[in-house]
Amino acid sequence: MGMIFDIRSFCVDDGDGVRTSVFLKGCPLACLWCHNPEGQSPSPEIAFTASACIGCGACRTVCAHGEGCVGCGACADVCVGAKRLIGREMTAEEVVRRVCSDRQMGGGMTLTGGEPLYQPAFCLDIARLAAQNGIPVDVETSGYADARALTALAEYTDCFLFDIKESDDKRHLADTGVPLAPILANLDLLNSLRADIALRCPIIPGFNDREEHFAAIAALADRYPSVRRVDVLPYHRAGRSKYARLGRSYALSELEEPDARTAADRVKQIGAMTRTPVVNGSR
Amino acid sequence: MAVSLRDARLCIHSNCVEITPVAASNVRVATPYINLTTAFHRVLASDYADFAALFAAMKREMEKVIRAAVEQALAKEAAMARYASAPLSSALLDDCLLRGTDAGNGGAKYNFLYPCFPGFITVADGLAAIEQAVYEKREMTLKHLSDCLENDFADAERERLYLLNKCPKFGNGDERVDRIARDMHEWLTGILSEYRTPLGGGVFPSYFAWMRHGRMGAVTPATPDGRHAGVALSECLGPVPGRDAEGPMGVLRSVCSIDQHSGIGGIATNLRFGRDFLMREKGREAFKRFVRAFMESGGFELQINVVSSRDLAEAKRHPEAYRTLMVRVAGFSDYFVALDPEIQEEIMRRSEHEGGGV
Repeated sequence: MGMIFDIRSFCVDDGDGVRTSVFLKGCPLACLWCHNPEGQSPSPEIAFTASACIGCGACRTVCAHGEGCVGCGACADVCVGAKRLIGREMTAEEVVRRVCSDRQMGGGMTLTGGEPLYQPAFCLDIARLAAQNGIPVDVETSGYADARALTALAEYTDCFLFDIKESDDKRHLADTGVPLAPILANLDLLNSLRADIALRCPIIPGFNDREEHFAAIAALADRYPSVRRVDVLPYHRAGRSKYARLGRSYALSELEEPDARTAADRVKQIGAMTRTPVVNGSR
Repeated sequence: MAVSLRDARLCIHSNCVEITPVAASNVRVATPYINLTTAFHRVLASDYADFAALFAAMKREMEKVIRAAVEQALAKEAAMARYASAPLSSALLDDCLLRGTDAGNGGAKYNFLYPCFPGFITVADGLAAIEQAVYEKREMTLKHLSDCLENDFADAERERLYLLNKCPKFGNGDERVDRIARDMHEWLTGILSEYRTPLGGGVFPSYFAWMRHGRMGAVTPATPDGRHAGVALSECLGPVPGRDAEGPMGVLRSVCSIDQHSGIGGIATNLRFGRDFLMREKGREAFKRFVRAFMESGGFELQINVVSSRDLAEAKRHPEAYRTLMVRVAGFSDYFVALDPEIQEEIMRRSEHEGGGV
């Protein structure tokens, strides 16, 4: 049993082919640019869309917790459009059954989140069961995870979509909330396990769009034969409205998306520094 | 078997969604159009012990509507057989020359009648909403629901949104409503199969609506799926526009849960994809896979538009700049700017599908 916040079919940006993405709730990181803030907390929570509220007051009459929301979902249950409970408990069997219903699309499953390895046992159960059912498994991870859990998961994983968000340790801690060293150690570990890896590199203007960072990405790609590809992920603001719905403020609310040419330049720039193929991961 | 295997392999889309054996058919397409939502208003006035009893009552009322409409159409067919003749086209149709008989008088090999059901999914969504709202969760009484519909949900926006947002909707792979649609399809196919046209042909259902979903919707009161009075009815076998929240695969699961073999009168499923999505290599690959999966799962026909919501909104604002924007409506294609406003609105409500999540 574990906590899921979405299962989406027909995803084309989460690995090869047309995939079914399983979003596990909970993440040890808190990246300033996070586009899935609803994946950060491991507990269920309420999203509220103010424009859809008709002010009927039904939510208040059923609430037993007032300001101290525990994510029980009673309000979302009676609300007719504005409140939604994010996060529900599912068994690995339920998840895989749902994933199998997309088998015809031939792409496989991607475990993502949140950080899938934040629920290591659940994550492993899903991956194992999917693999047993002949479903290819990709795992999108921040790399900030228990080494033993990662090792166990590697047995069932076809490809790790492994994030490299920042290469300066101080900045990494400041911008994501966790140190860089354990992540690099896990990348090293996956390489020694001969896992397939695609590095996923969000490029955030004003944070990590620096020459040294690009060079560091390229160096990692060249150092590890397991790294098959580098996906450059230009910053986008698609997650912005989610913060408002969760009643949180978005640290980067003023940041503009780079234009298509800048994004293409970044791909070229990093590509020129490494033998490994570098692509725009969102194209 | 309605059609011989040889002829079945020579089926074509004869002019829009329906399929007919080529050069051998004298069929009546989309004849008649039948609006089953009219049954709601007669049924909801009474009380029922449970949902099964209400569904049975709905079927009794819908059966009256179907039989009256089909029998009227068949009477017209009989008059046509007597008074209408078309010697030139008959000369080109099997087996008119062989039999020495005009197509209008029974010369053609196949003489099907294809009644068409705009609003079919409006009924299925409405029944699923009643089952949940009235009988399972007891959110409202049937009497209250009936009053809400009569007043077009005046002072009852909460009730309307409950029916619209909280109850299952066809096109999301949700068995609670898919099984109702499946049941209705099998049931009405059975009723139609009891009839023969005056020329001896069978009667088969079809689900597409040309422009009738707009016109019939304009004179149809509010329905239990949360639809306001006057809004277009469902136009095909697929989600009511905008109610599919699970992406294309949810549409596939619902639509293909229905056996469509009897639907030779034409079954259309509308989907709209974003232009940006199909501009991408990955998007085109996903799209190909989807179409293949849909057909392999037993789907009948996809009507696909590739146009972004942004462009449709712009076209509505500045029709002069979008004169050549062509869209698939329901059995035909037309210039978007030339369509009636309610049909434009219906197309804009169709969900724009893309490749999954952020």
